[in-house]
Amino acid sequence: MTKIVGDPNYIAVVGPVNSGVAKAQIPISNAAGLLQCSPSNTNTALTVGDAAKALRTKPNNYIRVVTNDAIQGPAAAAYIITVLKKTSVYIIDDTETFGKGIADSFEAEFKKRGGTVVKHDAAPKTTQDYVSIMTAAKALNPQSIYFGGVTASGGARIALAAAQVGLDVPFVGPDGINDGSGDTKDSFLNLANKVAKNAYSTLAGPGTFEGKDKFDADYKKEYGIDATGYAGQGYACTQVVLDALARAAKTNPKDSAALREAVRVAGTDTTYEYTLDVGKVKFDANGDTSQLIVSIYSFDPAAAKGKGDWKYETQVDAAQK
Amino acid sequence: MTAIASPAAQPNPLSRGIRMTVIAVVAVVAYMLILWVLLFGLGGRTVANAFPEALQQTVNALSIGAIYALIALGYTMVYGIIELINFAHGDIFMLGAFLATVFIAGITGNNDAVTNIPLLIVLLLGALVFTMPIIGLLNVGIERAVYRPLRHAPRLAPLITAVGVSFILQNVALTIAGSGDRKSPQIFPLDWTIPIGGAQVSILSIFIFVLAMLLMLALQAFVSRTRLGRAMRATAQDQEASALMGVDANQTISLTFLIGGVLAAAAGLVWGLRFGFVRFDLGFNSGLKAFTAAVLGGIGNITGAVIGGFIIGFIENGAASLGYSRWSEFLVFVILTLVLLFKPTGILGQLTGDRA
Amino acid sequence: MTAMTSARPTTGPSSPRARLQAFAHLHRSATIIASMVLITVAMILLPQVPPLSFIQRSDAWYDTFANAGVFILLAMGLNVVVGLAGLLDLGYAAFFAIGSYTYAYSNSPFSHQNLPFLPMLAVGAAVAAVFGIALGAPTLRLRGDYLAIMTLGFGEIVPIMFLNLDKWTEGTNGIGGIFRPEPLPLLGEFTPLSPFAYYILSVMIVTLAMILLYRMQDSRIGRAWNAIREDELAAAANGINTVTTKLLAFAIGATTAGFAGVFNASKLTIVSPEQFLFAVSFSVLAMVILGGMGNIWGVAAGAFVVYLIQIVLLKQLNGIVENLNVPFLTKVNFLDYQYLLFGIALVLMMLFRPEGLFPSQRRRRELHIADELEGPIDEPGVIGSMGETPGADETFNEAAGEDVPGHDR
Repeated sequence: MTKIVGDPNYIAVVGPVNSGVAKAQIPISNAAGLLQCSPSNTNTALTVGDAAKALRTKPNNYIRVVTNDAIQGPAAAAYIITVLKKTSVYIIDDTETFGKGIADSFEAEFKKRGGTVVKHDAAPKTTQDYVSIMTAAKALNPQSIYFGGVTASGGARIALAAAQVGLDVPFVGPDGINDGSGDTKDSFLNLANKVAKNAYSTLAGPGTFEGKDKFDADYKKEYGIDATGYAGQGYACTQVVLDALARAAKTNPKDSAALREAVRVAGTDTTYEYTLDVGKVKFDANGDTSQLIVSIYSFDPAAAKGKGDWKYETQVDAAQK
Repeated sequence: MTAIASPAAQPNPLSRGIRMTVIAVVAVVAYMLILWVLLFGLGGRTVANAFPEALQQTVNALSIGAIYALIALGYTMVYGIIELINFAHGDIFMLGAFLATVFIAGITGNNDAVTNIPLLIVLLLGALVFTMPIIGLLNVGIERAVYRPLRHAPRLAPLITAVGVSFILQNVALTIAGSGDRKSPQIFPLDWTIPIGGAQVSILSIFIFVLAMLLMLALQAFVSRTRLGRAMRATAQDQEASALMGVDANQTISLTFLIGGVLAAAAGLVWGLRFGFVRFDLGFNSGLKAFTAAVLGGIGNITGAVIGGFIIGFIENGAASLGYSRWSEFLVFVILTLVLLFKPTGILGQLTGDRA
Repeated sequence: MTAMTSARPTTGPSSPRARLQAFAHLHRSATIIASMVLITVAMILLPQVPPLSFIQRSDAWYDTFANAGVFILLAMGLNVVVGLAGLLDLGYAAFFAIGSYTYAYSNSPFSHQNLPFLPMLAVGAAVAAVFGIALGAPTLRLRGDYLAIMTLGFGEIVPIMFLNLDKWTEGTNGIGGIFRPEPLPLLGEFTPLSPFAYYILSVMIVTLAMILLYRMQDSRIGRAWNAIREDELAAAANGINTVTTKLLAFAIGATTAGFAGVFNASKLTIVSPEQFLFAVSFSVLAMVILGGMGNIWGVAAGAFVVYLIQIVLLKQLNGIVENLNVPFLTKVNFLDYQYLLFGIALVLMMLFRPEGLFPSQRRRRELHIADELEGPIDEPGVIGSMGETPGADETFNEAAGEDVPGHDR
């Protein structure tokens, strides 16, 4: 990042993918006034509160087209209680920034809606024996399991262990396990395929939008792989940056430093409404999107030529409440 | 000089064996009862439903403990014979798990349980016969290539080499298999269970425990009753004297690495069956815990390593049962620290600390 | 690399070289300062000209150099433990973590403190030293291998503590928004955009540490370390308190890591548990081994080179290969191979050049004693018949005897 901010040829950055990385990058890009648009950072502390303030020394330069975990976690809680009609949950997180953050916000909402949290345990990704942990979980008789984390930090292992001890209840996880079909290497569905029949996942953005099918087809043609997870959001970020650049260019900045600042100002303009593939959005002063949509996916074993894939179920729009 | 435990040197090996078994059974039952009390005392369970849970967890602890014990044997034997902490041994276990996965996935081609009992037995035996020699010989090859030339170098050199080998093995696996979890076919049917005391005890857990016990007993018999085993003990006891008696030190050391590798391969196979995944960095933490187990039991001591492995299994399981999984590693190391400080020779260790 | 040429010229007739060495030995501090000034100036100028200026802008280079300074400090500190005293510390990153968190507590919105940087540099080092002594005092009585495993365990426990005690450490999020050092005379303001001040500061800390470490190495303590490493029994017989001496090495190592931690935290402005995992301890160990255990300049140069390989070279290779469009290699991310390379390098170094790339004379002699003694034993034919070959047997005894360096008690 230091390398990029030092080069005046860079006027904006699309990324990063990872919230942990963003936390290290924002202080640097912020001081340089370089516009950053993330397609997938959902950690709340990146935009809201003291922790977010601590990352910034200058006016905001960071925006994201996905909503944050303070929306994504609760959406899963709402779905479990209102649609799946389960009133108790066992929560396990991976002790990492993203996983713990979203599990905490899930827990708060689940309790607020009158649900019972039988236990909120945490197991780092180096944990060996998930079977014992799930044995303990089963004894608590939860009606559902919520996992805070990503596939690589234990998502599939926990699902496998739960099945092994006979804990056959809905397994719900965040975007960290919505990482491709059963045909995608390293994905949750690839690893936990045979036990995923009761699995649900969320994405912190609209799961469907106008022209999604065409987008998916074009994506597949261009990159040779399926458009998974936040592919649409990656494109949305690119649209944001190009839009901001076009508006910045109209101000006739005199040099590259001025152009960079103009792009930042245009990109973070809280009054401007972007028209993106994923819909019309604005960004607030923190850099969060006005589009508070979380989509819910369930497992479809027949999709992806029988390898199984996530199937869009519904979306929860927190803005409409 | 450290010594590999020698039951044959005891006045009556049989009565010693019986005594050990009784102690072990009492310890396991005690663990179960303590866990039972803790579960309804701290864990908020009722007295009645805490019992099957405690029983179930005890079986889990025996499974993971058996895996640690198998790995710990490799550490303890190598340390016993050449006083080297073989940091790469955990990664040997990891490679064993990978190889078993590749073998089973290659034959069955999918991830389903095999319910045909003769076929299952053939597959499991086949996996053992396939992985054990390869991993064992790999371990021997590593010793031959990088540890042997350094046998008389200053102490630091082989130790650092072992750390280097560990990173090499880990990164070779990373390069070949990638950084994510790899699916390991769970061909042993997970729904085969026996109802005992309200709990559903999986037959896989019993299989893992019994397999590990058989291997350990075979090792014990080998070390105490065969000529090669005696040569091993002699070399561990005093390399110079045994060399004078015509024991070939290099051959004996190679044999030790072979056995260590073979046991680690078996541990790798059962790991995949039980947890359904393998990953390149599996060996690091397992290795650390297994080494702790070896120290706990008294490094250089075969029985000690087995006991240590089960103790680590119980500690980890206890933490998981009560919802403190994220502290289990911490607990393991605190216990390691305490043992090293107050009883550096371990539970069964001979006078390891006073060499030189 | 520059460090080496200015410290010990390798060309020219031996008498000027010997004179230069004698001078350098007599006026150690002056030589270090002079060399460091030369290196610093060279490193200010080099990034302005090709080929370095093609790779990244000069500011980015200064940033890289400042970060390299952290690893040079770490390597020099670990060198005291491993290279000078001959103890294997596998959890060195823990002390680095303790130094970092100490600064985070003294300068962050989380703790509502904003204490001056320079005193905190000393405090951070002192806190790390206290932990070093607390860990070392009981364990150094044990044999050397146990120390390795204890430090490995300690290195695992410390990040777990920082992770799990989230009430006091912000857990996995880490402590963010750490205040940068206040403007210092000569250096000016510290900002993320002008890493120059950080670069000069890191050079100053490294120079200071180097002077102190050289003074120590040349003093009675340094000789005691040598004695213990070469033959602990004899050292003890000569009245050296081996436990205290080893403990001192351990504490000095921890102190240096504390320095590095404070500087690093003030530069990164965030500390979190995943910055201090085993990979850090391992990288620093690789730097010490590659540089040459026991040689302070060598280790510093080793750390610098290894860090640049890690951070710049492997990344550049990706870019170059991409541009060349070599069909097979474009898919390779060279960064993925760095630990494989380290592992291979460690093993090869131990086998063929245990004294490192820039060896210290004394260490080199020591490490090759075994070779000279065992010589023929390594032949497979002879080793098999060890029992019957009296000559070989004697050498075997000597080499494997009780007085092998690094062997405890």
